[in-house]
Amino acid sequence: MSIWRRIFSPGRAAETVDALRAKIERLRALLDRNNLVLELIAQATESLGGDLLFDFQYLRRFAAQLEDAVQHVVIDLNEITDHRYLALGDAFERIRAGVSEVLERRPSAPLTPYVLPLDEVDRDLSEAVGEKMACLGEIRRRLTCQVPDGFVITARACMRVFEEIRLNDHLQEVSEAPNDETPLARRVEARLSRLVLEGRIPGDIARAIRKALSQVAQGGGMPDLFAVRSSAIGEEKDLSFAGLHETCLGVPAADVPAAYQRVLASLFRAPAIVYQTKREEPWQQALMAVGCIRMVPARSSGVVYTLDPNDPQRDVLLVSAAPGLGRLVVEGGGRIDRFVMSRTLPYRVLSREIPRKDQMYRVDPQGGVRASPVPADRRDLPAVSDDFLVHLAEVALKIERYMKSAQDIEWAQDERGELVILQTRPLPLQAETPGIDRQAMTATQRHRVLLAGRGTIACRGIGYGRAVVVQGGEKPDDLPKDFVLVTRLSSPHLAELVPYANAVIADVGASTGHLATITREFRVPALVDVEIATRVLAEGPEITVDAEENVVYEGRVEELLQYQARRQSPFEDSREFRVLRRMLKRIAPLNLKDPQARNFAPRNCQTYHDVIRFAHEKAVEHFLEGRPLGPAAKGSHWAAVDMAVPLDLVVIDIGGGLEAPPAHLRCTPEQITCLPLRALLEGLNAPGAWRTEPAAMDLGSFLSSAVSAPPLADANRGLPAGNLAIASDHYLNLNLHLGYHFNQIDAFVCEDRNDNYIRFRFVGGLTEMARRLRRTKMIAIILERQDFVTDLSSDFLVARLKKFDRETMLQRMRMLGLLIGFTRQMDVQMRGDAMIADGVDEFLQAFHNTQLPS
Amino acid sequence: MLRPIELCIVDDERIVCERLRSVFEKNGLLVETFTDSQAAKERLAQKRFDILITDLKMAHPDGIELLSFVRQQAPEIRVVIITGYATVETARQAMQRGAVDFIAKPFRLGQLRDLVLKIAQEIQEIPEQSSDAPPGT
Repeated sequence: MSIWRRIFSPGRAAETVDALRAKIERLRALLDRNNLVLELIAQATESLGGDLLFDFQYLRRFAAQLEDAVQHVVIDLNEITDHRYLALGDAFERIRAGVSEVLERRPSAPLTPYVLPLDEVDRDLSEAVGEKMACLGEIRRRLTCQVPDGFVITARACMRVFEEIRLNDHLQEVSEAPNDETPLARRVEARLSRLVLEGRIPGDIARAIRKALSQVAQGGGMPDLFAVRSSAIGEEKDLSFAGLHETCLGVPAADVPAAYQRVLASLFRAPAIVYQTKREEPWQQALMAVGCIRMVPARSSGVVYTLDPNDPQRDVLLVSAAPGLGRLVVEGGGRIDRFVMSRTLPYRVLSREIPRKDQMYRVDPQGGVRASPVPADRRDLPAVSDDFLVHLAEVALKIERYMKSAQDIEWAQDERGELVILQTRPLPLQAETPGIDRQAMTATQRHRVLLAGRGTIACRGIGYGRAVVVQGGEKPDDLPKDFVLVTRLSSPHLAELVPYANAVIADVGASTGHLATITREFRVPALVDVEIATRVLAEGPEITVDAEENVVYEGRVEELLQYQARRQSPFEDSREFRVLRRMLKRIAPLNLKDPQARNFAPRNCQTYHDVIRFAHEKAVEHFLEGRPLGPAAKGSHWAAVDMAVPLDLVVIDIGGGLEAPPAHLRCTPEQITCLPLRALLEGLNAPGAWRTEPAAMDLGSFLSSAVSAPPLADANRGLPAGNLAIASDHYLNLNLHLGYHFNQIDAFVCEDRNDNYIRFRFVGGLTEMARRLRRTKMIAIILERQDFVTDLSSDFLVARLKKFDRETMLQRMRMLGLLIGFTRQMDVQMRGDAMIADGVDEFLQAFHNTQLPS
Repeated sequence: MLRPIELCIVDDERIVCERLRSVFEKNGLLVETFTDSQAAKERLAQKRFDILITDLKMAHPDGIELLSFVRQQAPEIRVVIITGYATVETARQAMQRGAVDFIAKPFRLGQLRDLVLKIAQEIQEIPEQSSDAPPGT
């Protein structure tokens, strides 16, 4: 039995009105906190773009505010529903513990599986897989660079191995041995390296390694050989441990566990201990992840520096190359080819040294690598062709652009001639020459400013290319190599183009919107809400976008681009950004989308967003299910709305939403004093919006059929079914079940535009998925044309509009009223994709022609 | 040519120092940063800066103490307070002691940049008075 029926049982009227008010207060608090949580998440997500300066203290406060608000939402829901959802408290507690673990960065290794496939690795996992493997996984996933298959044995596995061999006991003994004359580093090496080498790999880790090996095994007669590489866990990216740890090449699958132990043992090599002691790093807590990457039988290999580390001012790339494996290049011995290349298209080779090369390294099919003579006909030739070098330069600069700093990249050319990336890491540059930053800004004075100080920075950085105003439907291959994506709308198909763009400029949108989020994901510098970019850049000039100072220059501002490459630490790599990204993974994604789905349950809440979504849905549902409008409710703060369109709408007034007191619990639309609701109903009631279409376009009649099903309450008891609006003078929370789909509007409209917002959610439908998707997409496009920022996932749409003036907001509410009616039947009609564009035009035309009050 | 503006940044969180350094160097200022407020105080005693940006909540000395110190040492220095603990009371206190502005974290980098560049411009418009320079500059 619903709370409403209990509250309004005969003889309890006075008491129940108070109880009801208390519940409404709870609901109102729940909705407020729900909005607060969404705002906090939006701000934190926006912070990832780098334009908001935040520190660790902010992260702590963010976590504390969220925790408090979400916890109260859980309490409010349970108060409203008489403790029906206590399990939501468990879900909250689980998520809270996860967030706090990330925030506190406990010294232990992150709780990951012992082995992670390279495909699941990115830089947010650097504490689990080490910086080196994290970067490799990142470029494989995000840049579609060719990177060999492989997996990483994580820091968690390392910790488990160390526990197994009781490393801590030995550590203590080694550190404390007072009368020992041998230097500490030597003692550590002698004792601990041996301990690791002679220890046993726990069975579960060995099994996980075997399983991973079998998954990357290629078969086909070729023996599977691996490179087993160290990937030490270091918080600071400049802690590169270059050359201090072991790398085993050409390891047969059966020998991988032993090689794993050798690499782990190298953590305690004397030079590594000295290095860490000097840097005041606690070597006693050091952990090591280890990458197992399939060996590439290489025709040639080498290293590319995207800048000259000794002279970063020069605009060049340095490439070294040798036939066969890259050992000679990496170790620096033997004769190899060297090329100096231009960093600008068409990436010319500026100079080359091609010595005679007698010796090369090859993979030994039996395992390991061996030296062999270079075939006579290759000795005096360059190890790679100029065409290959151009391609290498292009990929290397792409990686540099993505990483936002100069890179040191190991590469190979496989037997088919394809470029394969083996490793990338930040290239340490000679200390910056003072004044280099100023040169960048001085240089900008020579360039014409096309746009300045307009809109908002969504992702900081600098990008150059030809401006391309996209119309929709473009494919990445249609666009020039270096391009800046310029768009009027933040339309969903842009997601496909963003990873290829050097920068993004949008006329509309917010830094919290969908497009902005994608640009941050791919670290593409972006400006949004620029308003006039498509007009100013319509001719497609070459431009340089400085999304730090918020300026767009005509032409290529070389100094700005170099300034970016020479900078040593991109903000995305700082500890605070990593922690925030990891926190947001446990906070922001929405997994519970469909309230009708079986998984819509507290135990499936994985993030705070899931928790508040669940609570919001259930709290509103609770009010909807049992809304009684019997005689007992006389004099209370609500009324059913009488209007031409039989919407069966009930308004609960929480302060100034209705002209008080409504007679007989009914009111006319004119008696509604809630600004946003009134405007919405004006849209819904507008006459003749669809006169262009025959028969079904009679708004009243089709809405009539629309709202009558399904009944939400028991008709025998005389309780009218319908829809619920919670309203104050400026605020509206409306939940509309129309047929089988669901609209939800949460809006605040007042004189101060900074407080104004509309949030619109739309989900569900009667027909098969394809038609529903078309309809949802159509709604998304319409709303984008009306300045909304949309987030579309399957047939669940969230659209937001913020900070427009009162009249514009009310006009959008009227538009939403029309749209709700218009789209009610659309999924039945949406037989093909072409109907999307037709529907958009038809609606906007109708909206344009409709006489709405203003 | 205008003399470059000397900026001192003090915040116990390294990320704040690093990011602000990059913003202001790009805009042509000479920047020194300190995560240790005591070291900053010693440096401020030696060298004349034009602008000081300081966090409020730090281990001894905190931002207010630092502000009082530079007001005695070099009254012409312009001080901007940045803090995560923005309360009306602390803001009032800082402004009373001579801070020119007060910004709460998190803030947009452009907001602080515009503020500091405006101050820098004002400083450059004042004719230099060499007799004011403290020893050590």
